[in-house]
Amino acid sequence: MWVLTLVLTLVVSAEASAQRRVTGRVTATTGEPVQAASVNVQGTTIGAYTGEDGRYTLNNVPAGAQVLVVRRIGYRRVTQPLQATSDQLDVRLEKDILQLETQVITGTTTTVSSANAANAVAAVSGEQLNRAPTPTIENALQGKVPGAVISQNSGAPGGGSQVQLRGVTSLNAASSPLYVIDGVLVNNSQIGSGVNSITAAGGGITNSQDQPVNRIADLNPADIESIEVLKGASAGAIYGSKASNGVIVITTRKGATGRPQGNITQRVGQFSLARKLGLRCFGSAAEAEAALPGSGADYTASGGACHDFESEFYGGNPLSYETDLSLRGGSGGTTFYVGGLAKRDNAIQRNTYYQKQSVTANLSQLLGTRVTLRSNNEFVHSLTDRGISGNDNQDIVSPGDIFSATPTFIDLAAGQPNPYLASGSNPFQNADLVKNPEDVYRYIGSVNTTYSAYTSARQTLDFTFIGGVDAYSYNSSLNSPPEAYFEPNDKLPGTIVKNKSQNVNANLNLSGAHKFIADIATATTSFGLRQERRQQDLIYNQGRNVPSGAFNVSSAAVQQSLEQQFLVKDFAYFAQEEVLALDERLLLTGAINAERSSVNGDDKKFYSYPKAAASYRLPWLPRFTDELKLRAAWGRAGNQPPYGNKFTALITSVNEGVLGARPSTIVGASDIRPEISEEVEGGVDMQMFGGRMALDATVFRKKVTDLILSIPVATTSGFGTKNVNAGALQNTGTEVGLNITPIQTSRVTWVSRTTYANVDGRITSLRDPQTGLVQCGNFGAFFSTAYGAPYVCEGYSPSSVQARNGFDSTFSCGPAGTCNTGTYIRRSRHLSIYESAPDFNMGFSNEINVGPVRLYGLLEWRKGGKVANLTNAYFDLATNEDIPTGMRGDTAATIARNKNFLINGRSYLESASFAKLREISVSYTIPSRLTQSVFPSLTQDVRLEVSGRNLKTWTNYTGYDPEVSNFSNQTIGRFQDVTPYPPSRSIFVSLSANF
Amino acid sequence: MHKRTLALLVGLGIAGTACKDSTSVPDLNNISAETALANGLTPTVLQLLATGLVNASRSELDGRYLVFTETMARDFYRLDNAENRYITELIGTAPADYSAFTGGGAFTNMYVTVRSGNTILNNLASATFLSPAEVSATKGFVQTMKALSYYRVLETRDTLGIAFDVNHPVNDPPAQFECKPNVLAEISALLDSANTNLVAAGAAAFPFALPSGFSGFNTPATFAKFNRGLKGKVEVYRALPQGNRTKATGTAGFNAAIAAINASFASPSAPMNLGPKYTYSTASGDQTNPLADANIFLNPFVGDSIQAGDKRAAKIFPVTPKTLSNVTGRYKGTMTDPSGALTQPIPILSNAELLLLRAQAEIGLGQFAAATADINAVRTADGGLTPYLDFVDAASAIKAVLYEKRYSLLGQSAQRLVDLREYGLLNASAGPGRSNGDIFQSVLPIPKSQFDTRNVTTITPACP
Repeated sequence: MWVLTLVLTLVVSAEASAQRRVTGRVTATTGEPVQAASVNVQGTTIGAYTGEDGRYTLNNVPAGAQVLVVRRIGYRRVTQPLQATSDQLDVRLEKDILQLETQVITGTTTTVSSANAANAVAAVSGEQLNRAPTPTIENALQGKVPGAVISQNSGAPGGGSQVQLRGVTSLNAASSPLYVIDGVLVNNSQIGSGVNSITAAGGGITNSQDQPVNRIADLNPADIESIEVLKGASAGAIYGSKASNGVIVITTRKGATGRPQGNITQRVGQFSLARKLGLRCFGSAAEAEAALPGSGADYTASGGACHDFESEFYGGNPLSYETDLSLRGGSGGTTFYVGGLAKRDNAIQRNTYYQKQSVTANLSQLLGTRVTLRSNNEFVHSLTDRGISGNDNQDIVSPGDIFSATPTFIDLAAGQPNPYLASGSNPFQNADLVKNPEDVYRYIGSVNTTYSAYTSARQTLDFTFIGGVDAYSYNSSLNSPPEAYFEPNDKLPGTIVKNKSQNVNANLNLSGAHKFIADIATATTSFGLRQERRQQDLIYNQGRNVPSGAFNVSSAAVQQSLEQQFLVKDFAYFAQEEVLALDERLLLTGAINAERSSVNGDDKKFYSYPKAAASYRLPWLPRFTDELKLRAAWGRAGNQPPYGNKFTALITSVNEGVLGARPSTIVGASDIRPEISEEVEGGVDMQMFGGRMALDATVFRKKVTDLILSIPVATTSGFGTKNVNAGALQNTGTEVGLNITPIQTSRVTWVSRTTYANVDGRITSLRDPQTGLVQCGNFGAFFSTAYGAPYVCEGYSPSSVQARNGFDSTFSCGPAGTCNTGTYIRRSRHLSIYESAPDFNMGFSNEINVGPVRLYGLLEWRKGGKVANLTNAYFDLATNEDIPTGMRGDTAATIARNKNFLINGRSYLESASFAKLREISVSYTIPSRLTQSVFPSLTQDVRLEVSGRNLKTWTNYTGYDPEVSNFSNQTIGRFQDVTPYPPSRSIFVSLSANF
Repeated sequence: MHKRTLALLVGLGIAGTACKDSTSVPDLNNISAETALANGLTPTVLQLLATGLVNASRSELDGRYLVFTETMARDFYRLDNAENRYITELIGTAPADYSAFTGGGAFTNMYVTVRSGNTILNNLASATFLSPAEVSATKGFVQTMKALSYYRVLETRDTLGIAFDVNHPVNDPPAQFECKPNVLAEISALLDSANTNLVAAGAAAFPFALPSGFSGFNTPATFAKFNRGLKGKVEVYRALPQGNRTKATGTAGFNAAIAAINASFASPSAPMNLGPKYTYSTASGDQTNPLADANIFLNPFVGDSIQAGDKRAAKIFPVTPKTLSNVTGRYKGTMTDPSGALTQPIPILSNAELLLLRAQAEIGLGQFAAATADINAVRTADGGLTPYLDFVDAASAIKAVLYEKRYSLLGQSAQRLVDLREYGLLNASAGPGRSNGDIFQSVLPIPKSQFDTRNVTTITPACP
């Protein structure tokens, strides 16, 4: 169809004849020239960029009166009439303090001005991202994108965060948004290090409780020019079956023609424990004896000591540092951006750290007049040791778990075997001996060739070819030597786990874009195809019973290996039509993506994902209003079945060297197909008071049907779950952004941004397609209702928690305290349903510039939600429930929780509301006359900055951090707190020089 | 110009079609059931599934089946700082939570074994390489293993009932729960059918190899002796007094039990540990003994009340006391100590157990002299203790049989929970529990998922 449109438009190309040359200069209101501003003749394809001196030259400008449109990122767009007789026009641009003027990406190669955008697309600039040093880009986005709930799974260094856009959109398929960097679909998988081999938090060598990092953490935030967040199907439909959870489109920094400009930033800072649980000090030997029989003598021997394990273990770490270097420039058709980063975060838990080095080189070369060749390359190395934390079961190795069982009069820091654990496990010794480095080498690169096949005054036809690759190798090496006190406990002293894994995402993208500019409208047609291949191969080798000093699995007496792999091949066609009409007031968009994937039951079938959107800038405006835009968008996207979902496996096992196999408890679905997410959104964008205030408000409804489910089947069949497409859920919500500039003078500006978002989810249908029975359960996100279990059921929110709520009061146990067959366990437990997701999220950011001083702060407030605080359950662990036996300082609260728990009370489900001071910074730009007196060659500014992250949290939550998730990133059930790595706060001092 | 553009468009179209390469990707992580069984049962696949069945059966003996039931029967305490529900929910005032952990224990694994067995039976017709005798042998083996699994679920659920008619496709309605007498009758009949098949196999060998733990029981003829022993165990459970059974049924049941045990490998002169076993290994891919766990303590009663001179005291050793959740552990057992237990076999059914089961049946029939002889056979051989004089009353004979069972069969199965429950002895006499609210729970609950998947709030076992 698009081919026909294209051919027709090519045929009707009529060219104007009388032409002239127009020149001029673009300056800022302050007088300095603005370089790289685009100057276009409205209604034509004629345009040029300004040079370093702000001058431009337009050739072939049609005769008669015209209108010039001048744009530059960071400035507000200006439309200025050009007289029929004039060949000269100077333009002054005003600073765009609220960033109202951006280009919004609508396709692989197409963009539209944010003034016309039909979706609520949140754009975050690189400058906004890097206000305070962050470990990963997700941290940098927290509180800045309305509709995005971004939660860090634990305080461990190196990342591990979940981004959830517009609520839960899947129960058993992927939970992560799609990340696209310069057209490359990148990998955000998470790989466990195999630390489960010593924590035994779950079964096997590795487990989701390994606290893995989702690998988007590898990116260097300083390389990012801008991030656009497409929150759902209505914006992301062209990404097809990977866009249901939203798409995060990242554009990296590029070069620009002109004098090379560089920046060097040096940061030095420190991480410290953000919150403490507060451990118990014992007042007497009798108190110790009552809490822990047999401990009175130890108390007396210690002289009544009280060691604050939290301060001792999570403190006293060395400084962290970060060096950023970048250089951009270009001449004669070549532009370049080169960036480099070296950082080391020394995290709060003893001997844990995160270090990263990255080099980025983005080059662009004009070949002749028609071909532009661009190559983006980022090479990253990261090395992190996150230590041991989280859940554990066998030998007690998680520091929080050890502290929960060890009285504070024991000097654990002395490194002796812990007398209060059978295994003798001592976290200080573990931190010194047990190493778990995770080493990642990653390359993300693309070659992007644009060919301007045809250009006339009214038409352009461009073809773009993008070949991209994201490859990383992940190598982890857990070494737990036999000297660790806990190691001999299982009679297999010493554990080594090596994981070698290769991950490759490769995609090819071939697309064309045709632009036709008529008097009444501009039509942009884009079309193309995309091929993608993703593969991963993880190989774990575990060795147990290892000699002292060994680093090699093959030196172990007992060896096990585990391999997990996938290969997915996708192929898609897409086409999109955008029409900008009525004096650039009306935008109409229609698009379709047809895609097949090897993970679908029918791997040859194409599934289609259409979208349609419209926006209209009202020509009649109320008082004080500069712009008023109404917009509406509708679209469909998918969520692919997880790899292997269509197969029913035989599970193999070994017995005396003979291989055995039994049917898997998971029944595959040979007809599995993608989930379909259909989203409608509508909204209003307003600008008022001469650009001093901007308000955008959006309402949306997202319906997900054909949910990919692992439906529990009655296990009496010998099966556990079956994979099916069944059920539907719906999310509705509101997002509001309010940006104001209360003060804007030549000396003082104050910019204030407020975001608000809520989302209400409900499962509208959840039935077994074969039996028609309503399905209610935990859908694989296993936990006990004693603490708070995920609960998925028709009519309820997908993020529900089911927890105990007391016993049936009429129950009695029977004669002589004997609860015989059946009676006791049939005692009715009251269970209630709670909501784990927040009611709403708000972000408040303020930036005040007074001359050379800038003050900035960002506060995030989440209201509502629940966390199952198993950490408290560990600390409350009682030798006797009636006396103060717990290890937390507040013994009264411990007793109350213990007693309540025994009567089936909800002792450990807590409110997760919090407000966090995410970022705060004060910076001072040293006047150039001062810097030049020291470094005469420095032409630009030097900035000194002190910035902090997560400095303060206000919450009633009694654990470390309500953002926590013991099972890392999950669609549902991410609300469990099991002795996590505690959260940290950081303060950095930065010195940044532009040259 | 247009030509070049058109050429590009054509090229684009060609590229589009050219990219239609192979679109499918096989399962790279597992062998698929469809592929493996595509040509029916071959000798290799039969061996694969037979070993798989033994392994599934071996996997039933996890901490939940053994530790939960042995804790309820006052033999074990698992004192884990990270998990106090082993105490609070099994012998504490918080009943076993049917939604998780204690409630979900010892249930699904048994049905996975049944499914493994049914996979062989459902495909047996395609095994054209088997002789009729080998088909019978295979059937008899699988049926016996299935019966063992059903029996183990029933031990832990008792009168709550269990599902028996489960050989249906996954999309069929869930199997109905049936009451204890029905299920016991069905298990008994399944064992008889298995025995008929094993006998019909005659002198044929099993068309697959069994692990070394089955040596002595790895032909249809010798495996039938295990089958009869199991039948005897089921019949004793059927005949024990609980559940308002009439004396008449009891008598018939006890007689059936004795007849079956007499046809088994039970013998006062054979080694007491004779019988099939699960074997364990630290070799790659193999399984280690699930009881090898440093957190498992013995209920102090086990260590304190062993009779002087009992050789089985060698299994018990004192350790530094540990207190948690109002209980204190002072002893551990060699069957759980990781230093020895990691690769130690666990008996499935031993000569000692069969003799003691026969004694229980004889007590039920009032044949005290025969019962005393069987008890003494174990007591002298295993315990090295002086034999009892003939008992004259059931109560003291039962007490004696329970003593021998405790020390000879410690940590091997749920037999002690079954005995205490059926004899009405699940009370303070069984051994001390928590100092603060000691509860005697006789069964584990039906897991919550069974209610959820049937969309019901109560399950009443069918009892026609």
